[in-house]
Amino acid sequence: MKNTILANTNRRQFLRIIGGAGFTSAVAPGYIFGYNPKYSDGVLVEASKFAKPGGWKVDTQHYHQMGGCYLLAHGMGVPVEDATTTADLPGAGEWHVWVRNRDWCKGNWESPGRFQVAVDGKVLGTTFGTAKEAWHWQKGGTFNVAQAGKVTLALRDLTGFDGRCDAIFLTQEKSPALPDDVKDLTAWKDKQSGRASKQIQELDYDVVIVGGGMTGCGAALAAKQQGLKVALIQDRPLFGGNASEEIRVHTLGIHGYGSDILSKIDTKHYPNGHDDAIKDQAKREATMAASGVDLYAHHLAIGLSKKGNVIESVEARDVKTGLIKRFKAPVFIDASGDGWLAYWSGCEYRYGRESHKEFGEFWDKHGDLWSPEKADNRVMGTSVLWEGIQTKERHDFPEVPWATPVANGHEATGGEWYWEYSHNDLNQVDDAEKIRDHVLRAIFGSFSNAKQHPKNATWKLHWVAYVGGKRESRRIIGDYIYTMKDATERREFEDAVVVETREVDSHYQRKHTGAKEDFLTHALFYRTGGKYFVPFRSLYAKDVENLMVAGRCFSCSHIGLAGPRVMNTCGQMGIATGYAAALCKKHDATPKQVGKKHIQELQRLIGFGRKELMGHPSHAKKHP
Amino acid sequence: MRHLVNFGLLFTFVALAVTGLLAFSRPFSLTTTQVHIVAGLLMVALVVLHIGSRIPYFQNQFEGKKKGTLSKVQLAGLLVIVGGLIFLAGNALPPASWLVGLGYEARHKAEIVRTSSLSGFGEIGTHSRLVTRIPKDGVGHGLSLYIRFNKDLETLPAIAVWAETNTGSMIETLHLEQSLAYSDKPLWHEVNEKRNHILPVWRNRYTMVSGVSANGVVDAVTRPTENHEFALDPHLQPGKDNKFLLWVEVNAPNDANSAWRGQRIGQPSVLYSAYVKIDEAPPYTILELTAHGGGAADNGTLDYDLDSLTTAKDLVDLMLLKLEPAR
Repeated sequence: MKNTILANTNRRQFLRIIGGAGFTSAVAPGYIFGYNPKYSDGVLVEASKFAKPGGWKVDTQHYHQMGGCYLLAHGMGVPVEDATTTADLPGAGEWHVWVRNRDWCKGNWESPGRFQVAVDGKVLGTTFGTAKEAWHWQKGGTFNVAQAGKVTLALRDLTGFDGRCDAIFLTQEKSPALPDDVKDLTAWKDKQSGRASKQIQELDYDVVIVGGGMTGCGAALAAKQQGLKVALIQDRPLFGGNASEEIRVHTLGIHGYGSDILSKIDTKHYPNGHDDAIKDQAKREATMAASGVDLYAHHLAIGLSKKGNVIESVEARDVKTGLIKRFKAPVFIDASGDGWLAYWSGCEYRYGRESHKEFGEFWDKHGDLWSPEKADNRVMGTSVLWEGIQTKERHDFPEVPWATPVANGHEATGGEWYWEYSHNDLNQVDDAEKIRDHVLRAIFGSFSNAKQHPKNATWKLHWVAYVGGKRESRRIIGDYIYTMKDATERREFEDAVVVETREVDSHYQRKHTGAKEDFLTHALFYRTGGKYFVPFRSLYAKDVENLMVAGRCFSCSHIGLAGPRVMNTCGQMGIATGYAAALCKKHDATPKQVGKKHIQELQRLIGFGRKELMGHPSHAKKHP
Repeated sequence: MRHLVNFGLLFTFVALAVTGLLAFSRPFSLTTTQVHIVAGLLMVALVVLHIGSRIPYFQNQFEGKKKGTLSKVQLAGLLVIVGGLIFLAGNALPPASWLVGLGYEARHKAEIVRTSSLSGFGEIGTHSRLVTRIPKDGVGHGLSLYIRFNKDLETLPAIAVWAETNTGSMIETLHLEQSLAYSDKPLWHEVNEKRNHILPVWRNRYTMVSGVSANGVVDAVTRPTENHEFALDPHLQPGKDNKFLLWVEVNAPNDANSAWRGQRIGQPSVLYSAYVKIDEAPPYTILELTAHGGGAADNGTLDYDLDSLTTAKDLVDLMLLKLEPAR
């Protein structure tokens, strides 16, 4: 597959990603790309800007698909506390309320995500989350004010089952023209919010890292350790990605030579989904706050500029304010997991499973479950972790007829890594909301089924993630594609920068072996027998001179990813690219040139060349 | 011989009369029933002897050869009266029905628990019991519940076994300890004790069937819905996504501990449960200790905190439900 969002030309191109599509210009864009004046004016209240979100969560995961950072009433079956804010009305009279929302689970049942809107404490008659399945503007009713001034707006959740609201629009027009097209919507939001009149802030760095998971944090800490001016852009408010307390996957894999950095940001081996993730989050946040890295948490990367095959800047939007910053740097690290920078800049990437013939990745014991004869779109899936707890009193759980068709009779009081969903026809990036919601239905349905047992009367839902933990999506092609045999034959590379010992561990959906549940997976482990290595050539994009890729979007085949995909190993990749960024600056070189001319220096920085791996518990099992 | 028969008839008549009155006016008693049956059999034998010795008398009466015999009209009248009374009794018509209405059974109908004729109960060992339920007309699954009590128990605890919907409506009582089946204040281990103190959860669930609340008040509110039937048979049929809960309530007397100090009841009843899905159920399901009935006497509310229980949690070694697939 080859994406051509930005072609390699010698002209400078600016790319803004809106609604999953890229829009280019030759000059640095402001906020608005081709604003369409046909839409109505009024007072826009974006959900992410609510002064008090109450129990609603700001969900940034699907911005590129639906055009907003929406509020999500993720109450696990208990209606969440109201989200409240104020809106400044410029005039007296009758005002019409429009709400951008969706019915996330349409069917022959009462919609699960129902909510209402209150103006100055008075609830409007419309129940939202019940109309169209797609994001849309829905009329909510009218109210009158005697004079211009502030009114209070509140989102009132009715179910606790993930109702969602992107924005509220107040207008004195009875039938306003409102944008549904995401490109128009984004520009219109910028205009209505007043952002359009502002200048985009421009910032200069030695290296800009997009993605604040274990990989991005590792990269940032390594680069900062070498004295670089580092910007770390993270879409969520917390750092850690899949290891964060929002997702709660424990870190696996060894630290390699990176223990000094990774031990400050990793997790203990708690059960996936456990509250102990909160303690590790505190450790990680403290590390990042004290690191000297310029942290841009809650900032969504939304575009970049490129000249020839060099990225010049990356744009990111502040989730809370919507304001855009432009980050310039000579080198960039794509640690976004989904490989956004590489994708936008037109790099070649892979998605899905290769034919086993391509790289000799056949495992006769498991056949197609491991690697197919004919390439397909299957990938390892997204996990949504969750945890129930047993109390000493009865807890009722609402009926969830909308969830039971997915649960399909399955019963559970807690989740683990194998609550994972992937489908040949669903893309882990483009269909992320659908995938996350599917697992939510599986969770609520399975828990409801379990609650039918009197023995489970005292169980209650303690925590359910609303941020999906992805394993695999785009894999950006570098100068070397890492494959299964590199791990299983434990091939040595002159430019090795990452070391791992764990099994090659690929997942398949259990339904492929006849299970009735489509949301559970099984893991296959191919033992490697010892250390294996990842070369630096797999950690930069071949199509863009100054872009490194680290983490699960590194250059590999589907099976090649299965070994080094875990977070400590990805953290090692981050560290390698962070140090490489320092060498890029020191030698005024591209990542590729660092790999060719300065690889030994890079390996020394990482720690390669030492006889033994650093003594850390993460090595204890395999290297006593 | 004649004197022997006469006195024998007198004694057996007294025994029959007394046990008959007791059976009429008091809750069912196995002892009373046994004495009544034995006395009845003895009386039959004595009457046969008596009639056998009076055959010439009856011949004379039927032939009308002697003076002082009954006329045929009188005989026919007597026959009509006796036959009529039997007919009225057989058809529950007055005055037989009025008379029966004065009996204990009629006056305490709501309290008396009779399980379905399709249910069975067996003592398969000193500490093992088996409760079975076969489907009506052989349509549907059958089930059997094996209960093995702690072998160290000297006397076995009281038990009730019932099925209910997952909304808590009783479907059918499959078994109730016989000594508790005929009164809301039965004699239990030599003391009259209220049933809602012995097996409070079952008793409160049974209110829906009996219409009399656990504390004896006629319950005019709790009633089955139109679609609810107090029979398990519809729930045993496969292919209809049938699901129900099976509960067993167990209580032993005089097992007080530091948390439950009442000398009589001691620790409260304990409840074991299983969720039965007819179309998916494995052949065997172990019932799990779920809750206790402490504080449930008046409302049947389960208490899931089992920490205060000690020996009550060890009354039962195993409860195993076996589902017999429909033929």
